[in-house]
Amino acid sequence: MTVWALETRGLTKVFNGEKAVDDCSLQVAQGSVFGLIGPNGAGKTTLIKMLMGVHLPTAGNGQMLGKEIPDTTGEVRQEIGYVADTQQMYPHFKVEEILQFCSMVYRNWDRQRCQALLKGFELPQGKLVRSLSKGMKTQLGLIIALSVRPRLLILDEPAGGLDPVLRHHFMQLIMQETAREGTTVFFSTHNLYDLERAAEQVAVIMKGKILFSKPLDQLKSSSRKIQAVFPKGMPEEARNIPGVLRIEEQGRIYSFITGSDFEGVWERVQGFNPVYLEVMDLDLEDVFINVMAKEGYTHEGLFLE
Amino acid sequence: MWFDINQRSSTPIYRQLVEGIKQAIARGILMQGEKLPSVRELAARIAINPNTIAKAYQELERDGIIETLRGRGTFVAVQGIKAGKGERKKAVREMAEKILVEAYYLGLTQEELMEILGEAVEEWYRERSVGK
Amino acid sequence: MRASFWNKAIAWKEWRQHKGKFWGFGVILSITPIINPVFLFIIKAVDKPHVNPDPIFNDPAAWSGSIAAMLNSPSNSSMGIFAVLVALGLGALAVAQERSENTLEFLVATPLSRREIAGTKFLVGAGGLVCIMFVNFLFITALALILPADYTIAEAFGWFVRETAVLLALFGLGFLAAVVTGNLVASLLGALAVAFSPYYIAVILCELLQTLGIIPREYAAYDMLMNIGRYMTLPQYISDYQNFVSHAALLVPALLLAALALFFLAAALFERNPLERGGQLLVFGDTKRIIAAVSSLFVAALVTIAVGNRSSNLTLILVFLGVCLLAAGIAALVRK
Repeated sequence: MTVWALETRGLTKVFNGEKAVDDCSLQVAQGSVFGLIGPNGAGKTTLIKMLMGVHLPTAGNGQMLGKEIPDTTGEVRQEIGYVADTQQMYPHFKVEEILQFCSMVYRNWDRQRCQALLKGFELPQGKLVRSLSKGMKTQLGLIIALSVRPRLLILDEPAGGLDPVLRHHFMQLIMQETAREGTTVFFSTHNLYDLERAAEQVAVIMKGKILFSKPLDQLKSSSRKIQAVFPKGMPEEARNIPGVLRIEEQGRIYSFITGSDFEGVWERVQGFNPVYLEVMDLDLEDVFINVMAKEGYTHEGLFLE
Repeated sequence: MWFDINQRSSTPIYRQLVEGIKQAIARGILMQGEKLPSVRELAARIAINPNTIAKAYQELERDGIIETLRGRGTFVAVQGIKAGKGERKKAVREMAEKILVEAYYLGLTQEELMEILGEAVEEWYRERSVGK
Repeated sequence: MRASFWNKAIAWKEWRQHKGKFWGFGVILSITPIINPVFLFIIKAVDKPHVNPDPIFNDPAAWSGSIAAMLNSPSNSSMGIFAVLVALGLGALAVAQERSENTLEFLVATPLSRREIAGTKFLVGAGGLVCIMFVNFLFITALALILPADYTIAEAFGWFVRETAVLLALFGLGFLAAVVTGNLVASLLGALAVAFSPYYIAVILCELLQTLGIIPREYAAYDMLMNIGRYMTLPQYISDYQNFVSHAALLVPALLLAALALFFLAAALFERNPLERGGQLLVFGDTKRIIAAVSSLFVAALVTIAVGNRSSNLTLILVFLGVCLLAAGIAALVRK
């Protein structure tokens, strides 16, 4: 039986009568890397803030690492490393003072690890938080999150505001952490490339609602493109094969874009004796556009980055 | 390098890894018996989900291309290339069919196609023999 | 055990974050009891000490007069309105500064409970206030021990207990205001309004009830209402200090209890605070609706009192309700 490191049951948050997060139920397996993707304003940050106890949910609950949320004691957060979308730390504190505060708060604070990370990121300890750039603040956030020796990492747009080199280092560190320590990672992003590299399970959130939650592999393998050329044009029956999202025509070539049951569609198309038949994988972006279109959403604003 | 990932490609990442390692072995970049980085090391190095890498290694191991020795690591199998020859021939034949289809659409004649293939095969083996 | 109101890490952070304020506010409060006499001594010491070697040390009134006056009636000293504002401000800032800098999100996302956060913040702030008062008390006590003074140590002690009790209650009020409101300005204004307004609310209410003929001025209930308003107006204890002194045996415990009650109320509200509306005036409820309701009630009361003497009671009640509805309607329109 799978152990869920993180589980939400109908989490809902209403802001001024509007549902920012609507009946969200998710399950994140222990040791897995889970990506939450959605456009800006879809409710990713609100959901994560509810997990971290920053916002109190309007309805619903959940558990993290076996402890119920919302949790009034804060105990559940002892083993969670959290990197917020914007780091709001005390602007008049020095980096080392922030770290000292954290070392007093977290029971498993790993001083050596913290020092090593500081060195690795070349973050000056004597600097005031106020004078750090956005990227440096994010680094400080990650240093803290990793120094608590987390069993679960919750990252809100972890690579936002970082330059490509740092972004890569950042993802490297996170992958290293999950590979070495078996740490569960739950991260939100609107960047498909980060998602594809890092995540094995992915959930799409749109307008506060979770559209689906699936293994990335399954998502990719069920959505493919079958190109076929038929000797006498396309047979009428081929237009209604179940599992086909869309058919594109280009001259004599017909492209069947599958949404599910790829094997079934493949056999049906083969049954029409095409003179030419080929399968193509779609890249993640196409997969998402197709799947979302099926869910009744166009991709407006989703993949601007 | 053999573990380079092309993010723009529509090929799934684990497949790219499998292909990359197969090619690297075929070209002699990875030698028989050579040690491969562990799943953890590789995950950290290229910032890829460790389970994706494990999946690629599993597939390669199933095909007998690499082998894992408990407690010692993962190595390029010694008779890796010979293993599963029947399967392999079939796969090569399928790929050849794709090339034929492609050639048909490009309007190549049988002679032209044979010439191209002959050249490619010859060049490949010449390079391999120089490498050894 | 876990339901603790105290956490060392938060205390350390609070001290690190607010020590400048504690020092600054401490200096302001100690102008009359400490800085003024010290300044006098220094001037006397520098000012031709050989020619004129004395009088300040022999004449108690020369240096201790202002302190004695403060002990009798703090309102004309640095322990008057300044102290009221400092106590309110310290209370409000403890929470509101974190809100305006958005650092509260960082704090509540750490493994600290909200109760620990609210509790420790309150205790550190209140503790700082008590410390400031205690240092002042110690200083004037020490002076009275060394030099002949116009006041007694017992007087100083009585003053210390009474003024500290008032300031603690004010601090609690400021703290509560900051928990309920969404930002720094709102919490400071809110704290000021809540601190000073009960008396005026009582005046308007009494006037209205009298106009409507419900409670005529002769009734005991009228005076009772006015007194409640007066007792709930905390700065009143400083401005009407002599009256306060005569009832101190009852009022000091009452004020300390009030501070304690505000503490638990603030902690309980903080635990339920959804923390989502950084920029809004009020965190709980709909700010605009509350403002509309309060202002329409206020307008209706004033209009009724103004029309008062010419009409019958029943008409006046109708006028009151009518203006209430009208003002609420206008407020609703303005909202849209």
